[in-house]
Amino acid sequence: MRASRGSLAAAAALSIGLAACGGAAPQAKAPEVAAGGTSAAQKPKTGGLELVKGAPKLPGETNGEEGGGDELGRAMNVAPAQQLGIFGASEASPHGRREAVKTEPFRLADLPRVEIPEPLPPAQAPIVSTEGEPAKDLFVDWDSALRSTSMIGRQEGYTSVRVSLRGHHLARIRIGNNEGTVTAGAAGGVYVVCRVAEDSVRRFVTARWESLGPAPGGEAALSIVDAWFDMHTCKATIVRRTRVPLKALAGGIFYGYREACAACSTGERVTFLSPNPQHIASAGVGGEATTTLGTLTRVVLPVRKGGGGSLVVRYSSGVLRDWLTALGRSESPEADVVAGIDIAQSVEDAEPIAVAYASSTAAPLASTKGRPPSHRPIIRHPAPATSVPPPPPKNPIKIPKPQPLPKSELADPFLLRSRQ
Amino acid sequence: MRSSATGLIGLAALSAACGLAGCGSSNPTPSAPAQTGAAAPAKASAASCQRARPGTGPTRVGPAREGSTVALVQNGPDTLAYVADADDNLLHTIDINTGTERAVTPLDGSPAQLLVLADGRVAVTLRDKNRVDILEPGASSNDTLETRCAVPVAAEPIGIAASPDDKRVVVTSAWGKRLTSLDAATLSVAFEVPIAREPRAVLVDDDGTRAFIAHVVGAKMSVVDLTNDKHDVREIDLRAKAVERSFTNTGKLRGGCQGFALAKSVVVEDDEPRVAEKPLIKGQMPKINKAPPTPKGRVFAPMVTVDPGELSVRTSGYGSNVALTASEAPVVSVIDGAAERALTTNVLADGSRHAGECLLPRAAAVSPADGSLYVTCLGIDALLELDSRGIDPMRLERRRWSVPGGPTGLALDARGERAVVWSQFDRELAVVNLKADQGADAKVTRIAASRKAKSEITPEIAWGRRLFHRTDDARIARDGRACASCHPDGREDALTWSTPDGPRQTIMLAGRLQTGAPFSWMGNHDSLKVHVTETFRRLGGIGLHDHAGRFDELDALVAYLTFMRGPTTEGARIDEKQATLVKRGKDLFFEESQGCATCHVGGAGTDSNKHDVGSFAAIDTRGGFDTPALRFVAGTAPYFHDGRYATLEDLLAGADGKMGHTLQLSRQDVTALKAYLETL
Repeated sequence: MRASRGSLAAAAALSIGLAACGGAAPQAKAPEVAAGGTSAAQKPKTGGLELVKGAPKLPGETNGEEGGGDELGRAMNVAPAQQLGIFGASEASPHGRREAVKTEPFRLADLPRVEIPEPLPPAQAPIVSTEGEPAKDLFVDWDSALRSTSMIGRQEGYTSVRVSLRGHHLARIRIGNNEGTVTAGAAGGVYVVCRVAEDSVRRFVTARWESLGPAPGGEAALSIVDAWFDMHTCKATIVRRTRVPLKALAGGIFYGYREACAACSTGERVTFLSPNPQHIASAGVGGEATTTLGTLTRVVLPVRKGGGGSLVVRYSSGVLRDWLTALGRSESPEADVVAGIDIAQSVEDAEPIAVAYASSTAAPLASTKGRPPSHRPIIRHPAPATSVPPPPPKNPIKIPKPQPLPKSELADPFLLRSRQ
Repeated sequence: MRSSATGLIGLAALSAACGLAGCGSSNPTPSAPAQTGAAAPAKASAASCQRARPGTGPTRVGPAREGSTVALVQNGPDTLAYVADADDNLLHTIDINTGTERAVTPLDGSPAQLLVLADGRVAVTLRDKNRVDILEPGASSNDTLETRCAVPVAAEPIGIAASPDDKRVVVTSAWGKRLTSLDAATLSVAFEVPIAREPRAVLVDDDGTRAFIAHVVGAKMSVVDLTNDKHDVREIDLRAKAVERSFTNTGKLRGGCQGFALAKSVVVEDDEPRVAEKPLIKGQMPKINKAPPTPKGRVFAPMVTVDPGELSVRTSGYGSNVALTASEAPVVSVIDGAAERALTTNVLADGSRHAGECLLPRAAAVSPADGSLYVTCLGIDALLELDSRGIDPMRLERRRWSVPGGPTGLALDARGERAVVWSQFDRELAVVNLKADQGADAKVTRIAASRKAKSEITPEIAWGRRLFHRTDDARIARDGRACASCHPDGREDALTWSTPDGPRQTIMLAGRLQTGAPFSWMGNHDSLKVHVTETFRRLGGIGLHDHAGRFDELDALVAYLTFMRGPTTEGARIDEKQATLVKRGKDLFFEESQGCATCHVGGAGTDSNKHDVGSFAAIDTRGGFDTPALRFVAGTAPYFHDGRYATLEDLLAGADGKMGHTLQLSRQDVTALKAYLETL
């Protein structure tokens, strides 16, 4: 021991002071020490201090390792930290505990960089007719059509016809200035004007539809079709097709790509496609984040030095399950999921630091009450082959299968209806 | 405001303290040290501070240069943890390989943080002694440490850090609101600068030019230039926009609290073999993946964002009535160090909160192995592993471990394979194997530390302290808040909350409750137990248990509340000019023309009566407020029950004629009066 005279004196005085204090404080029982704990034979050098082990305890007081509390020190997937069992009385919060977050760092450079052509310019729309590949997957829902009430008595025009896509589960369609999302069974879509006069000056308008589908290697691809939509015949002629490879993130919840952006400071922006969210919030630092909601939700985040963007979303398990199934993935979430993407580049970062994450959540929605918290596991990666499919919801919403339309109506609905 | 080393005299605050004693205040004197037996250390001098036996004994482990309540050293085969035990004024030396306590060194005061210097000396901030003590280890791991010298600094030193070149040591003083820069070799004061209130953790950036400082209140971070002559101080706004009510960006800025800890990013070199990605199309060359990089130049500040509610409405409790908004939402604010700007501009604060949130973060460190951020949390007694790549790493919690109660300190080993957590409440050191996810290896090893047989911390006080810091306890608050959420360190959050009576500013508790009856702004409660019970009711808590025949939890909580120590300025460095100003201010305070002492008896005391000082506002239910004690008034801004005055100067100017008379005073006299108030 090399304690100086000063410290020895201090220790001695301290022990004297303690002894003089009197008062019989109860000697607390020292808690058990895990492997490697101090044994009685290995007394530490104390400089003469009168010492005991462990925290002072009240009569009957327990802590984590004794009754009621969780096992201390267990490496957990983010769970029990409540260790103050008070005589077995549990006063735990009614809120569910946070599940572990699975994070997936990624490099923006690993996202495919694509050149997506601008939509067809309306100024170059054909005047009389177009030639090219007919858009066979375009679906016109004549049952939804509303006739116009023309002042001159002609009733062959339709002010509003729903146009969607057949065979696309996760898609968006834009005709003219109207944009909407498309889901399975040719649901969704946009309403357009049909049966305008053959010599109308605005007979042809631009159309674009984007559809997400599975690609080899567990990835996905975005098909972008540009076409001219003929408002006289209610048909479209395809001008070009663009295929955008995507990179899956967070177990297939997000699909991302980089895109050239002349207006952006870095010359590019990052787009992420995701399912229809319950809640979504996006934000940009040093730029603006834009969100377009729908079955094919699109979020564009700014990328720049000294800034970045973030996205946090909550998905219902059902929507997410449909999304993953449509993209050929085997994961099957059993609880709602909170997921997100953070991208930031500090001044000293050589490249943007990006991370995607996801976790199941037991917390009820802020807007709902009385929903019991659940403790379901995070998305399984991958789902076991012998897994039992999740039970159907108690009150499932039945979606009728789309019925094929009569060929005659598809061929010339106007004539068919006008004869009625 | 900058004071040079030559313009300062150590221990000059004694005159101010003596002045206080002469005031006849009925309040207890500033907290006295628990033990007085330790030898008075030598004053700082170049010779006395340096090592007596250079090159012997334990040496520092790892690249970290930030102080904590625990630090790791290596002495031959022994990996030792030095632990600062604030309760019993001890420094424990614990062998984490064998789980044995090798030595216990008594200290002269309550240690807040310790830092191992490059040559093996240990610098300890003694919070209640207002100085930094330098200790030297012996050659053996079993040796107690020897005090080499002591350096007086501004009141209540807490945070300590070294520059990367180990030439400079910086110290934050919580009550003194100062950053002091010391020469690491001689411990002489290089400079001292004023900073915002309640500073705690400090770190120096990688090139040693700036210090970043966390503040418990105010949602801000201070940045101090260390190398230029001016030592400019800048502040970074850490407030964040709320994302609430169904994840919508409301744009409402949330204040902050609980800024105790800091950590900076560590660049991790990618030495893993590159992984070849299979080509999607046959015939293509395989793509070589490069591992994603770790962040660089970032500072992480674990804290809590707070929404105290709309002050224009009365609420049923403390804060918003709207269940869609979380009053307290934890966040790790990420700062772009080079730009001195927060990257975390939004915080998720909707009502769908989880249990087990880290509402009381206390220590942080970044792993040199993979850049992960580790944070210890009071309340839930846990160590969290967060992904530091996120804009708010608190959302990216990957793992957590239960640790013994009261984890106030954290250290990682050089390879980031083990975390060592000091838990003050349980007096235990936890060694966490970070490499093991499951199985026996994943179990946390607990090592019990010694305590004084007749510790000041009685079992009842210890239990009260646990209750005070307990989060997610339905007996205390419906929304998971702890007492310490609004009263960090027993003080106050510098916020004004919407309440059933109208807006009310949080009051400081530590050191003020011993003789503070009646309680509440309106003086409604004659007993602290009644007041605490009413506070729980307002928070939606169901109240504490009375374990008949064993102990009453409310008694335990009250015992802790009245035990909590306030800051002391005794022995702190103080400007001589300031001491003169304080003396003049005291004279003014007790002059009849000002009339301050009529109600604020003896300076810090109170006449325990209600007065209408014209502070009633339309939103208040009624006027007539209990005279508050002015003890520690300097650290309790904003002022008045509704926080209408941001500073003491505003208060003195705005309350003239209603609460004393100050309009006749010159600017210099007002400054003197303020200086005196700051000593109370």
